[in-house]
Amino acid sequence: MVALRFLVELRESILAAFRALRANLLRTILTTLGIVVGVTAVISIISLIQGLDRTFRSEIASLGTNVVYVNKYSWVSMGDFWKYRNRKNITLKQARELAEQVTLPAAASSSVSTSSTVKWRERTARSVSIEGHSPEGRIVHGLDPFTGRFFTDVEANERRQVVVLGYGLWSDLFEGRDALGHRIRIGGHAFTVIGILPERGSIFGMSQDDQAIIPLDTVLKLFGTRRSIGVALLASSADAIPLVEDEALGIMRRIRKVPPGEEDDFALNRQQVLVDLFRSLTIGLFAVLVGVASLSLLVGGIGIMNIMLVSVTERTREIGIRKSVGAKRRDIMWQFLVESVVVSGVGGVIGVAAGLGIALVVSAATPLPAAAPVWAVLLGLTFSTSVGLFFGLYPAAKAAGLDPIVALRYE
Amino acid sequence: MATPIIEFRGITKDYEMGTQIVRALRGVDLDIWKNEYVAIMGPSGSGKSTLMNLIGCLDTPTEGTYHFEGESVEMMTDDELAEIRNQKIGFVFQTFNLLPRADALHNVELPLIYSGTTAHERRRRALEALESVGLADRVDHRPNELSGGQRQRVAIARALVNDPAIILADEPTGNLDTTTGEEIMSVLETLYDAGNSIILVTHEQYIAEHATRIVRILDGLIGSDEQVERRRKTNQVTA
Repeated sequence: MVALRFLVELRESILAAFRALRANLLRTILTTLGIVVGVTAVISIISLIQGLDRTFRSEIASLGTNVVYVNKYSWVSMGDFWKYRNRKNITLKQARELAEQVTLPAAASSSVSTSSTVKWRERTARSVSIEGHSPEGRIVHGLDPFTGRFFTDVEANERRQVVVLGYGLWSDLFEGRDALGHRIRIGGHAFTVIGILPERGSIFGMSQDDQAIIPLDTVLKLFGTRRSIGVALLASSADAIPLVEDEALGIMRRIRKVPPGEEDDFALNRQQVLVDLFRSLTIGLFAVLVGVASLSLLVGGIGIMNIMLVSVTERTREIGIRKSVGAKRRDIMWQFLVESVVVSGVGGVIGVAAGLGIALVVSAATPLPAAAPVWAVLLGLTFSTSVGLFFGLYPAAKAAGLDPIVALRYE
Repeated sequence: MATPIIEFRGITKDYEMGTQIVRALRGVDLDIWKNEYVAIMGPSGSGKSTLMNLIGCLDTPTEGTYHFEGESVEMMTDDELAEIRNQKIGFVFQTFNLLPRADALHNVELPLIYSGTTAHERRRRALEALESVGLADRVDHRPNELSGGQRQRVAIARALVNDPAIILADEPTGNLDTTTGEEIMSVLETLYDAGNSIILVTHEQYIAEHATRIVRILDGLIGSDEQVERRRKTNQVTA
C-alpha cells in the first residue's frame, strides 16, 4: 500500500539522514552555520523587542491611557529647539480657566513640580520631587493613598501645608512606621502627612515613588515657580480622546490668544504619542531583524545546496545501487530532500536554543525582560526547514535523475 | 512449452558517443526459461554488459521487444522498471556494490525498504537470507569488516531477499581469488538446486562451465547457444 511504503521510507530516510550527519559532523556544523546564525538572530532580536515593549508599556502605564496633557512643550522631539525657547509658560490663571471651560473631560487637574529637601526627625532626603496638584489630581492621575487620604478642596484653597507621601519617600524617611499625622519639613516648611501612596513604579527612570505631593496653590505660595503649569484632562473613554483634544485646543488657543493661522504655542500630549514613537523605533529594529535574518538564511541555504551537491556526487555509486534494487526517482528525491531538511532543521533547533539562551542571559543580567514568544520559535523553525526544503530541491532532483548504469560505474 | 521468463526478439541497442552512434546489440533473439542456469559469455566489447543491463531492466532497448514473464517491458516507464528490478530481479555485481556505511543486515534489507516492508518483517526476511548464505554470525558487520567472499555473499543475500524471478550475476567472481570464487559458485549452485533461475555473465570459460547452458555473444550478435556437456559442479561449501 502506497501510504505504508511512504511511511517506511520516510522513517528510513530520517534515520539515514541522521546517520549521514553524524558521519561528517564537522561538515554538517559548517553547513548549518548560516541557518543557526539566522535563527539565533531572529529569536534574540524578537525577544529583545518583546522585552523593550514590555518595559515600555509598564513604564508608561502610569501615564493613564485616557489622559490628555496640556503642556508648554511636546513630549517628543520637535526638531528646532531654538524656535520654541521663547514660549511662555502656562500660568496658573490660564490653567484654571482651561479647567473651568472644558466640558467634555470627566475631570481636569493642574500640576507643577519643583524640587526640595525633605526632613523628618534626623532623616533627610535631598532633591525630592515635589509635585503640586489640584485636588482633582486624585481622580485624573489615580492618586489613591492606601492609608490616609488625599487633600480636599478646602485644604487646597486655603493653601494648607499638608502632604501625601510617595511610597519610596515614606519608606526612606519612616521605614515602614506609621507616618500619618506626623510633621515633616519640606524646604524648611512644616507639613503634616495626611496620606501615603502605594508603589507606582517609575516613568523612564524617574521614580514616582520618591515624590511628595502637596496642593498646587501651596507650592506656588511657598516656593513660587518658574515652571510651566501642566493641565491633565481625563477623557471618559478612549474614543472621546480626540474630542477632548479638539475642545482643549480651541479653548487654550483663545486663552493664550494665539492668532488664527499661527502655530499653537503649547502642546497636547498623550500616552499614545509615546506608544507611536516607540512603535516607529521598534519597526526600525524589526527592519534590521528582517535584513539580518534574510541574509543569513540565504547564506545558509546556499551552503546547504552546495553541500548537498557535493554529497550527491560523493554518493553517486550509492544512488546507482539503490536504483538497481528498485528505488524510483521519487525515492531518491525524498531521501536527499529529507536529508537537507533534517540538516537545516537541526540548525534551526540549535538557533532557537541559542536565541533563547541569549534572551535568558539578557533578562538575568539586565533589567530588560527579554523572552521569546512561542510564535517566534515556530517562525524560526519553519524558516529553517523551509530553507532546507527549497535549497535542497535542486541537488535532490539531480540525484533522482542519475542514470543507474552510469552511476554504478562511478568511482 | 511454458512461457519463457525472458523473451528477446530483435533487440538492438544504440549508444551515442559524442556525435557517433555505436550499435552495441544488433538484433538479438533470446529465450530463457524458469529454473535455468544460463551463462552469457563474450569478450570485452561484445555487448554482454549491454545485454545484461537490458535483461535486468536497467535500460530499455532501441528496437525490438522484450517480454518479461509475458509482460512487455520495452515501453515501460522508469517507475515500472524500478518496480520490476525491486520485485523480480536480484543483481549480483563484480564489485559487490554494497552500501559502505551500512551493516550487512541493512544492506540486505535495502530492497525491502523500497517495497514498503515494515521494520520487523524486513529484519526477519533479511536474517533469513543471510542465514541461507551462511552469514548469520556477521549480520552487524560493515562491508569493510568483511572479506571479499563474505561481501559477495551479502550481495547474494540481498539479491534473494525479495524472492526474485531471476538472479543476474555479472562477473561475480571477478574480484575474488580462485578459492573464494569457487565458494561463491557453490552458493549459486545451491540456489540453482533450490529452484532459482540464474543468469551468469562472464568472459571466463571456466566460470561459464558451471552453468547448464552457454550463450556466446560476439559483436552484438548471439554466436551460439548450447547446453553444457560436462558441467563443473562444485562441492557444496557453505562456511
